[in-house]
Order: sequence, then structure tokens, then C-alpha cells
Amino acid sequence: MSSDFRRRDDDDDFFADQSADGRAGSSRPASERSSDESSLAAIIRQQGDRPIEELDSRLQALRAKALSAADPETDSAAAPQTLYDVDDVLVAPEIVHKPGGVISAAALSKAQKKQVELLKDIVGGPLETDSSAVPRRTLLSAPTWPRLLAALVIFLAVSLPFVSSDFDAGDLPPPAFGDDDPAYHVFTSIEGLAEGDWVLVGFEYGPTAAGELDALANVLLRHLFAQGAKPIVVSSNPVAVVHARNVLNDIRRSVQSAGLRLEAGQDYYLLRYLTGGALGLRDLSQNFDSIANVSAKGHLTGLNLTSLDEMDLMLLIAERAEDIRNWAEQVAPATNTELVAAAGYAAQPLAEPYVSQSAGIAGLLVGIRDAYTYGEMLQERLSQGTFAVLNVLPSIGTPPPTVTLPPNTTPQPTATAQPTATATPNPAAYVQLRDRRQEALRLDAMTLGTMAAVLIILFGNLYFGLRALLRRRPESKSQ
Amino acid sequence: MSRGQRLGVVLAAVIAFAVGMTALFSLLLGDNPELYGFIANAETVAVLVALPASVLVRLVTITIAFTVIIGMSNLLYVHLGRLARRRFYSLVLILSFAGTIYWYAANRGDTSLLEAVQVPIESSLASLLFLSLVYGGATVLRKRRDGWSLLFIAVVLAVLLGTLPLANLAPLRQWSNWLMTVPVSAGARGMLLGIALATVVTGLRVLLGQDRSYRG
Repeated sequence: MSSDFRRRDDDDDFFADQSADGRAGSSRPASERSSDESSLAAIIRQQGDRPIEELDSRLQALRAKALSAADPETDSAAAPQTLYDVDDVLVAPEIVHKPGGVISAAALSKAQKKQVELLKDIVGGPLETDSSAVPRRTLLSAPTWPRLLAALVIFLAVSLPFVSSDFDAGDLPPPAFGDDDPAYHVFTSIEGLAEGDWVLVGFEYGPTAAGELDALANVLLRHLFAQGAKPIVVSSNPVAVVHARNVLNDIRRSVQSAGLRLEAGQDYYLLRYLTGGALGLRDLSQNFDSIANVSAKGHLTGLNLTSLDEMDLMLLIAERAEDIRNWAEQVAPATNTELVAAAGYAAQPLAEPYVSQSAGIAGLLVGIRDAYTYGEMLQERLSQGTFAVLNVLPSIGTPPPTVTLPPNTTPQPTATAQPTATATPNPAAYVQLRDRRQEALRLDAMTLGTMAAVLIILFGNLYFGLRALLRRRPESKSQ
Repeated sequence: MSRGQRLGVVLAAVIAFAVGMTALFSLLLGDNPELYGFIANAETVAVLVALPASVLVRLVTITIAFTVIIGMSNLLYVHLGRLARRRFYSLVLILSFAGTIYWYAANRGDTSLLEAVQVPIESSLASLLFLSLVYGGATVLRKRRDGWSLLFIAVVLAVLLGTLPLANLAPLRQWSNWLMTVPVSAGARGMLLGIALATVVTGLRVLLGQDRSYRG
């Protein structure tokens, strides 16, 4: 913490077992505290102010203006005229200046006082004005170690699968989705695409969700490429556009290293960032022709698309429930093209109401477990050799012909480089998923981490529940 | 309030009402030729009716794009000011900003910095959130001991256990699935309906001139 900030509160107080007098904060009856101590005004008064110079110039000017307006020496006749724009309708009450400030005049009901007590419990009680009286917490002091212990347990749990093969926790996800599973509908929708079909891909997640959703994006995009479909990637998140480019570049590199073609601007398109959130998506549905014309780098794409109806499928990969809602409400109703989605676990509850043909989203994949199953189904299809791209392989490796201009001058002959071995095109590269073992280890780590979380929550609450019961008994006996 | 200010208030309200109503009717009635089946050029009429909303939406998105630039400029301006007062974090921000732009320009649009810096940092923060949530869940009964707290803990444990891929927990998984598909889904639908109604009310308040937040 910067030295110019006063130390107002330590967030460890939130987890402190007891207050300074040895009693749990919540067990103190409200009647024991004076009304002044329990008032909102008291809490506010006890908070330290930041240095004035920390404010920027505009706020400092505003503060000076406010102080001059609140100064009782100023013209009192001007006070009722301080409500801008509505001075004819509402008359500002005269402010009574009391020693404790305006807020001290606020009267709190009994219920509000209870809420104040709860708030004080949460924020760690009243502030000690003398900072030297507050004991500084070190890494190993008592209130900190339970958190450290919990962190250590979780860290060990999620690390175990990576250091030893003896910790296979639970079963891996099933190798295929059930027929009535919304996730299966996503697979069949992409499986139904033909070579050259257009797919609008909404890439609505950034670095925060990359750990979870990159696996889903990887299998879905590879499936699209294997079908020979042409994804057009858009996003209303500026960082997601950059991340999408990196994900696509990764796939492109792995495909090209296998001797196959995958080029931006020919086999897939990354469009510019859509500003305005929901409004940007409305713009996408209404003005798709102009949006599809400009790439993320500001170049013309040359796409001659006029409407979303020309898309054969829309695929949304989203981190937040709000993005799913925006796509289901702003984009899906504007077209007859089907929309399928992939989301993280956090977005699932609010995404579920939209999952049906009539509600906007026809199919839904959720989280890493679905990504694993999807990958298994891709591998199964690969072994069957049913992908469109695999059947038209020779044409894939041949770049489109370009117009050759007659040479104006005869170039000087240059030394011919030594021939290098040309990689034999491997069509499986489109859906060859790397690190399947790593994916399985991640799933094991998730399982062990969840088990550790369950144990910590269970034992923590058992401890605090039993402790409260044991404390209540002596109190009832003494009464 | 001066006469000019009053005129400004009225003018702003009239413009907001006119633009709002135009967009509303254009969105409701545009791009739907079936509505104009009784007219010879129904397709053309539908496109013309949809045009104002399309133009307005376009204007808004362009304006918002400018606000992104303004926001970025303001951020730089504020931190340059703080730099004069020797604020270390502002120095880090300015250097990061300049360094990222230099990297992008010098390496022909290379965006690998995002994967090398931003993704690990944000993923780590998300992991810390998991830790905080677990510890918060473990201390629920320390702060509040009532039926709701117990119910909360029971549901959290049931959902977490339901996600575990263990054969012994198959019955619990069914219950966990029921929780997700019935009560949670019902709550989510309620929230979504609430959001929709609040949006309608806010729109109406703006159209009726009761909410004049657009005046800043």
C-alpha cells in the first residue's frame, strides 16, 4: 500500500475470529452499544479521509465549491436556489449544521440499526483511530493462517494429478453426448455444414475466461475448418478480438505445419470490434453488409454478404450470461439462421432459459467437460474419415491462381536454395487435438480441487457452528 | 434558471422524445413487408421504415467508438498528471502503455503479449476468486447462524458434490441436476423477466420525459 494512504482497515478483520474484547462480533447484542456507536454517522465519522491532494483538479474544485456552499457565512438566501433545473418545483430544505455533520441528523430505525451491526461485522467493526494500536498482521499471524491453510490444501489438491499418475480422480467425461443433450445439437449442427458454408462466430470472451473457454473454442473452430466451413469471427469485446486472432493463429500454424492451407481472409475472417455492447449487436443484425466489409485490421474483406440470413449457422462462445442474453435478444430474432452457443460454468444458469429452438439458442456446450467430450467425438469422426475436408484434400493444398504480370525487366539469376523436404499433407491436422492427456489431467485437477473445496466448506462451517453452540451453552447456564 | 436554460431543457426533452419514438416505431414496424401487404411496394416501404432506426443505431455505435478513444486519452491525461506527483503506479501504467504500442508497431501487429501477460494474470485472478469463494463459504456460520445460512451451505455442497465425476455420487448428481434445472432456472427466468420489465420502464420514463439523465 502506498505510504500516502492512511491505514484505515485491514481486510483480515473480515476473517478475524474474535473482536478485540474476546467476543464474536455478531454475538454482541445491539443494546450493549450506545446509539451513537451504532449509528451510520458514527461509522462514517470513524473513516479516515484520503489526502486532499490525492484528488484530481476537478474534484478539488468541486470540493472547494461544496465547502463554500455549505459555509453558513455565505448568503443564506441563495441556499434554496441550489437545486439546478427544478428550483420551481422543489425547494431545497435549509441544511442544519450540527457538530457531527449533516449525516448525524439521520435517525435509524431498529431494523436499520441491525443492518448497521451486520455491516460493522462484515467490515471488521469500528476503526481504531490510533493506528499504532492496531497490531500489524504478518503472514503467519493467527487470523491469516486459516486462509493460508485453505489455499495450501487447494493448491496441493489441484497439483497432485500433474506430479503423480496415482491420483486419477473420478471418471473422465463420456465419449459422446446423449441424443437429447443440447450439447449434441451443437455437434450435429456443425456436422451438417458443407464446404464453403458461412458461419458467424461470436467470440465473446477475454483473457479471464481463456483457461476455460479456449478448449471449447479450439474444438469448435477445428470442427468448422474440418467441415470446410468459413468462419466469420466478430466480437463486442475489444480484447476478445485480439485473443480470437491468437487462437486462430495457433490453429493456422498447426494446420500449416501439416502441409495444409488455412489463411486469414480466405478460409476465415476476423471482423472489427463491435462497439456499444447490445447496440453493437443490433447494428450487426441490421447493417451486416457494412460490418462484414471491414476486417479487424481495418482492411476490406471483400465479402459480398448482405444479411445474416446468408449465414448457414451462428456460433456464440461467451464468457458472461449478459453476452448470451444480448445475442439471443438482439441477433437471433433478426434472422432465420440457427444460433448455437458455448459458455462457461458461471454463465450456464442464466443461459439455460434461452436454450430451445423458440427461445433463441438451439444448442449449448458448457465448460471443459463438454469440450473434452466434443474432442472425443471429433477424434471418433476422424477415425471414420467423414469430414468434408478429408475428401477434397488435393484442392486444399493448392493456392488459388493469381494473375501473373509480364516482367518488365529480367531479374538477375540468384542462387537456388537447397531443397527442403516438403511435408506430406496430413488432413487429420484439422482436428488433431494436442495434449489430450493434459486435458484429462486438468479434469482430474478440477475434480480434486472441488473435493478439497467441499471439505474446506464442510469442516469450516462445522467448526464455527459447533463453536457457537458451545459458547451459547455457558451463557444460557449463567442466565 | 434563465430563459435560455429553460428553452434548453424543453428542447432536449423534445429531441429525446422524437428520437426515441422514431427508433421505437422504426424497430417495431420496419423490415417486415407482411405488415404492408396492402401496398404495391411493400418491400421498399418496409426497408424505408426500418431506415431511421438503422441510421440511429449506427450513429450511436460510432459515437461510442469515439468515447473509447476519449476514455483512453483521459486515462493517459490523469496518469500523466499523477506522474508529476511521483506516483509509481502511474509510471508503470504509462510505461506499459507505451511498451505495448511499441511492441505492436515494431513486431508488425504481433499480439502475443496478450497471451504472455494478460491471460496468465487474469487467469490467476480468477483462481484467487475461487479461493476467496471457498473460504467465504467455509466461514458462513461464523457470521450468521440461521436457517438460510444452513440452506445456503447445503445447496453449495450439493451442487459441488453433484459436479464430481464419482460413481458413488450418482444419486446426488440427479438431485444437483434438478436444482440446476428447476429452482435455479426458475430464478434465472425471474431475473430475466425483471430485467426486461425494468428496461421497458426505463425506456418509458425516458420517452415520457421523467428521466432526463441524458442531460448529464
